[in-house]
Amino acid sequence: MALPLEIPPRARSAMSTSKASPMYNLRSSIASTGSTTSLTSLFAGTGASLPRDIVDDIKSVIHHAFVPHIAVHVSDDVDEVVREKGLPDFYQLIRPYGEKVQGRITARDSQGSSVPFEDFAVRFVRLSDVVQKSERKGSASGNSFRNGEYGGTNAGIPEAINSEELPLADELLDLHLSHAEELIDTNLATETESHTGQAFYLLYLRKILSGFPVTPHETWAHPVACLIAISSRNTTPIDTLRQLYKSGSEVNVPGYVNKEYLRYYVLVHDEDKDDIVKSAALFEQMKRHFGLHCHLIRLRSTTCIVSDEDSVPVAKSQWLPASEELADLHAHQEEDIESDASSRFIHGSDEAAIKTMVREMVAQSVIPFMERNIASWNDQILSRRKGIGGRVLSFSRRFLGSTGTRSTSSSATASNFDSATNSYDPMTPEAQMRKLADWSFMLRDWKLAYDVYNTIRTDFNNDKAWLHVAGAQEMTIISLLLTGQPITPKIRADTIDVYLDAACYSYVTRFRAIYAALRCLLVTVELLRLAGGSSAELAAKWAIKALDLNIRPTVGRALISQRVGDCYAVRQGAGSGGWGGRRRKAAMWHVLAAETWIRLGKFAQARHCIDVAMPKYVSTEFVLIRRFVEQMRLDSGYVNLLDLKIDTGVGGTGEEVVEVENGDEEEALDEDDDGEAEKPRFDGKRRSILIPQTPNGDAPGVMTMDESPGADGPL
Amino acid sequence: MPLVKTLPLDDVILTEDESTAVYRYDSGVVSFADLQIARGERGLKTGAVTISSSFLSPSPSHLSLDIVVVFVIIIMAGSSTSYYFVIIGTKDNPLYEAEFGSFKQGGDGIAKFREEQRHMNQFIAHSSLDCIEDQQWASKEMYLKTVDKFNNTWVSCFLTGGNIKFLLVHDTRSDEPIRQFFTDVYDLYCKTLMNPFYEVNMAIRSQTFDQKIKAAAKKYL
Repeated sequence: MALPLEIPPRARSAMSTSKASPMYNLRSSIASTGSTTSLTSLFAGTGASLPRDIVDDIKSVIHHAFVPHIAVHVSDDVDEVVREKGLPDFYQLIRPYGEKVQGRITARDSQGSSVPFEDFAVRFVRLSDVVQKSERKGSASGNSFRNGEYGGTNAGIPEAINSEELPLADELLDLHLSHAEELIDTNLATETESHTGQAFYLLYLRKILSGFPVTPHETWAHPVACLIAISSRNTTPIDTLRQLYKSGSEVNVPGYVNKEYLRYYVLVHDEDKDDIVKSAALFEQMKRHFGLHCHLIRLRSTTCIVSDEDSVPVAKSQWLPASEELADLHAHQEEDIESDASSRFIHGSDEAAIKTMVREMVAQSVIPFMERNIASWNDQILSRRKGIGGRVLSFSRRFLGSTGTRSTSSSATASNFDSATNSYDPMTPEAQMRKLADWSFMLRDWKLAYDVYNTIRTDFNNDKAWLHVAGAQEMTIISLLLTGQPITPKIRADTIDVYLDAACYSYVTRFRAIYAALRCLLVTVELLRLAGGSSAELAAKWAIKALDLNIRPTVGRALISQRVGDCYAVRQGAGSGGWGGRRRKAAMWHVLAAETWIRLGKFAQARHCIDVAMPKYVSTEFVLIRRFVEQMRLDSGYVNLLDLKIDTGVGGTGEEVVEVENGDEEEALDEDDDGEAEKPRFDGKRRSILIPQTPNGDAPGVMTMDESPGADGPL
Repeated sequence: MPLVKTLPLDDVILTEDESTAVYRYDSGVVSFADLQIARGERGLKTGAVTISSSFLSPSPSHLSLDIVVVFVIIIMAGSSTSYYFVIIGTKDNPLYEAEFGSFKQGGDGIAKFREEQRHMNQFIAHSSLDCIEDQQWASKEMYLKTVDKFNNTWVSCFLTGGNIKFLLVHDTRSDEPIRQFFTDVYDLYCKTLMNPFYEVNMAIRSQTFDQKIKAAAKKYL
């Protein structure tokens, strides 16, 4: 028996060629979850509070979800330069670099003190995508249901709020998980945290949060700035820029998107073919015409290959919406392994140039622009609204409105709310306040954001703009939780519970916006879970609510049930007895998650869940519980690690500790009994046990049988 | 003549107050308001609702609709009131378990749990111990009323002096009959404790005890 000390050469060599799995570069996207890969399981760390890096991780996912969107609008010649480098277009080239702006970015908050961010991010989007994402609404609202009761309020409700990302995120996660399973089954990877733990949940959360639809009730996906670029090849540079400006403004964005965003002009200089002196002169001219928001970026137009001196791989975007990543994966599946597009390279100098450009744009143009607007809206609208004059105004409006109703004209005439399109005009105070709140949220001034959301909520409520109310309620809770102020039972009961309930009701029942509701719930659940204690229990409660949104056994559902268990697990009891803990609940939810995983045929995930839940049930006297858990263990091809460890001898306890840390445990053990144990595990146990279930007819695990034609049920 | 369509059981869920059913399919959700629920025999719930095609958006492809369609939905077979009763010892161990159905409203007293519900009952009872440990300090009563809720089932709890807990998993709320039931069970349990051959935390296997519990259930539940 080989000692389970090091990675066997077979496995190692296989690892290095794991590119051979054709459609996939799992490591790239799993690794993209950053430090999660090295996280120890939440359960393994039974400490009362969460490990620091988990907190940071979840917070950073949430921080990076709500970031300024910058539209990209470039001339054809720019894309041409980039295509010569072997990349699809300029947008694809710069997108990954928006996800982590180099260096430290400072922003002033409403108090005037500057706050540094180490990890500020922006999201680049194609200007045409902004149109497209909102257009879905236009086409879909045509067949949107009109029932007598809803007809009035629902006309023109954007279907876009029901992002199409949701089923796609499920599909994508399914692919990732299947791949992880494959790796585990072939011993290429080990059953470690990165494959079973919360890494997948974080990936799911990230995918849910990456494709914000363009909707009237929130401004996350509305562009804050627009990057307009031309290249040095352009013969009529200034005219082209003007044209781009014009076409950018004329582009058919919906009425509720404010078109007065910042324009940032970029001149792409082709380092290999054009003269820098000429470009510099042109750049001076640009500055004269368009002011200070200009940048000259020097890119090389030759294709870079690995063997080049300063080649660096093109960064991978971590915030690809599920739809794009799926398309990517499918494209790779068809491609040859050799021409794997994920291994494209650019020159190091190019990378540095792009990073500098993004940094300058963000630090010197976008953030000051946002700060200026926040300050002015804060002065002009918010203080007026909150001041005595505003009160009188809103009171008189309400008064007038109510007299209006008496004289049979609707009160809506007094408000700025346009119920036909279910939106406010971007110039109305309400829309600007929402924008103020969103922007201060983007700059992480939670306190101000919370105040503003709180204020506009009542305004929206008066106008009966339910979608906006729900959006404001959602963000009130999120910004409140982010301010980090202690969550008292009173806040929990009066604010969080009430608003969440109302927001979900509006989203689901009034607008059937499952995506919006799910996003709202999942973000809140994460933040509540981080707060720990009884907030974690509340988190579990709302996570269960989120399960109700999706009753099909999908990957998302399994991940969320697992999360419910994790939420309960965070709540640790007091004293040695763990009084007041929720260990039994956590165990139950992990078993339920395992059940769903088995249905989906994701046995490694199921094994992980059972592992976590097992200590609670290992000596239970509840017969049916025990039988059920045993059955699931068999179904998932579970091998009792403890038994094997005892079998392999006690000699290497010290080494095994090392193993566990490396996460190589499973693999090493498999290696150990390659001969005997592996066969029963995969063929004998899992499949033959599944067969006796078939006559029941209702055993969902049977689904997996189709994939294993070799199983002929010796039992 | 409206079309009658039966939807698959797993895809339809009922809201708590049974006023709305939600039907989910690949690309969306339909919820039926104004649902009329009829309780059929053997605890089958049948819901019928008349909807118009304009109500559906986007319309599910497998339900091509004429102007008016009547759906018959079979919801949650076996969800007539059934009870799962368990006495739990100090080490989370079950001492006595019983399942029974309601005798009220012409019930036959036989539990109608579906097979997958039976182990869930145990899971639910077991996991509600977490909540009981919290709430036992908060109330001065020994009867804690409903302590926990899982989907559509509630858990009621009664504490005894020796930290033995009576749990009842039920799907309709009725505090008072359950309290009376628990009081009777408590008497029975005390009598059992008086048995010189019985020790605390031992499983109760007495036939008489079982019969008397069932009688109490028949009387109150």
